[in-house]
Amino acid sequence: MENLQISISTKIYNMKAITNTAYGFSGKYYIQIEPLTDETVQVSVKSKEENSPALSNFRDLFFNELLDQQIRLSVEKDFGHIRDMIVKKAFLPINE
Amino acid sequence: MNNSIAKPYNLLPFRFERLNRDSVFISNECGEYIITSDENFKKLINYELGLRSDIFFNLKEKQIVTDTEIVPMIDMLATKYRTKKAFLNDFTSLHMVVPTLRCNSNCVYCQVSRKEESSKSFTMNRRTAKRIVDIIFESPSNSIKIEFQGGEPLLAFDIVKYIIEYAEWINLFKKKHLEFVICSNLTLMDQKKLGFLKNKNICISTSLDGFRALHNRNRPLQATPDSYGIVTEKINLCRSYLGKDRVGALMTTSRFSLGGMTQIVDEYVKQGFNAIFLRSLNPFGFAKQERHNIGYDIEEFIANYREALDYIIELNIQGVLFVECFAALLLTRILTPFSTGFVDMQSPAGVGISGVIYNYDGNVFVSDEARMLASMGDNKFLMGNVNKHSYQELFNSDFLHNLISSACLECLPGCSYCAFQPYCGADPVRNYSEQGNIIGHRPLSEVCKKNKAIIKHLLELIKRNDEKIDRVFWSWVTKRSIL
Repeated sequence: MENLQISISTKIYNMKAITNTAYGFSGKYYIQIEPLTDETVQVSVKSKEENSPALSNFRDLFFNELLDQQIRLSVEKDFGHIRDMIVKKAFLPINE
Repeated sequence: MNNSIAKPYNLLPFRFERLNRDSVFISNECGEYIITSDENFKKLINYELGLRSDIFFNLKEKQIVTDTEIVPMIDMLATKYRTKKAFLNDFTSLHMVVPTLRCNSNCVYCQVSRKEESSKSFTMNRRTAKRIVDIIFESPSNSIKIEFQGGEPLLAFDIVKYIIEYAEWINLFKKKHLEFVICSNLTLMDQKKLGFLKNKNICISTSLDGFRALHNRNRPLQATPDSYGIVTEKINLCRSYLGKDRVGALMTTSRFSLGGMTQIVDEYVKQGFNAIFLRSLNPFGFAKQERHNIGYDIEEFIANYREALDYIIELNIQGVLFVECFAALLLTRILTPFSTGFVDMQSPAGVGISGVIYNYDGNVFVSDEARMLASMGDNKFLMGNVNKHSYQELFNSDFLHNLISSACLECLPGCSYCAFQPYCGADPVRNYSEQGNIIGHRPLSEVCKKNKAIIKHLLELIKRNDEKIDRVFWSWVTKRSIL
């Protein structure tokens, strides 16, 4: 069965973004995340089924999704507190 | 994202999802959304949108960006958020009661593991029925719906009658909005029963899986295979006593229904219904045991659903007012600011806090699916028993608190950052039944696949800006004919 290793810099990508991305692919693939160096992790990918599609474009799909996950985290980091304020404000009447 | 330069505008919290290579769907916490190009999305997050561009005005209108003070935006979004979550203002209002597990049907997908019609057990006694009504009226909700489920409730009509009369008596003092629903195959419905039900605030919900051959294959009776002839005759009898709008029907999709969705819709139109809820099989009871015979891949259901939905839209365009209920629910969430609590699909989940079910023996479960699971020997979602526990013990337990805490989309893996979150819901019982734990694994979840696919299909249809389709969708949301 085909295997693929991807090394990812944790200086560029947040670990949470890497984990969220791996989670999204965990339906079709077995995925393992291990530290490689102080600033790099290795993502090992293996198809769950014998006849599943080749992993040839997996790397591209993974990095595209990783970028989206990183943006989600950036939005959350910069503006998540505003959402918390909205929810707090919304429930203010029953907390008073 | 470029943080080093002065920002011409502020982003407000949003989530996004790519619909395809060039389209990005962006939604805020209240479900307001925009579909834009990948190029515009890149400009948005890099603060490169022109403040006078159409896309900026659109995003500003949806409160996804602002170039003015943030505080008034928070006030506005908080009001909208509170409106969206208004279903939480009411505590449990749907109370399902199982007067008996006995049934005279022989459905291929029976989800509750029915008991023989002739069985002497499995029927509620009056003491338990009285206690259930007393518990129901302790709910703080101003609106109470008592829904009789089965088995076949009409096999225990004396208990149904007792519960209705006792609930009406209690309500003389409680003065809540009280309504009843009887979910029945209708085979035992007659003029005497309807004479009693006529002046009650009651609706009938029956099952009609489609045209004669399909309905008979899915839902034969134990005594005769031709249940179709009986149910269609009894639908008309009920209508003559209760009024047309008081009789509804539900369908369940088995493997035998696939490929015949448009004929199923035609059958509903022929029988005078103006709505259908295209439902897939739930993985409980016989449906789970017999999956290899009657089940299907969720992708097959989605393809059939899309075909049926497109057909229904076309029917509406031709002037037939006919609603697909699941699409109507999603469209209300997508297109309007209004609250739409739906026990099976809301966040927090509706289990226990919006709907609850009382079994014939007084056992209380968080949902009908939880009761189905119990019929397979798993009491994971048993809240207690009306004959042993108080209202507080049943509805304010650590068990229910913990369950609800684990059933909020806002903190579930895969859901917390999903852009479709404002339209979707959590279902811990389904997660447990399908995947073995209440949190669930989204990449393999059939419910997630189905909901995402149908939401995306609706968004694609909305994105077309087709005036005819838009009019149909708004007629479903506003419950008015487009003519």
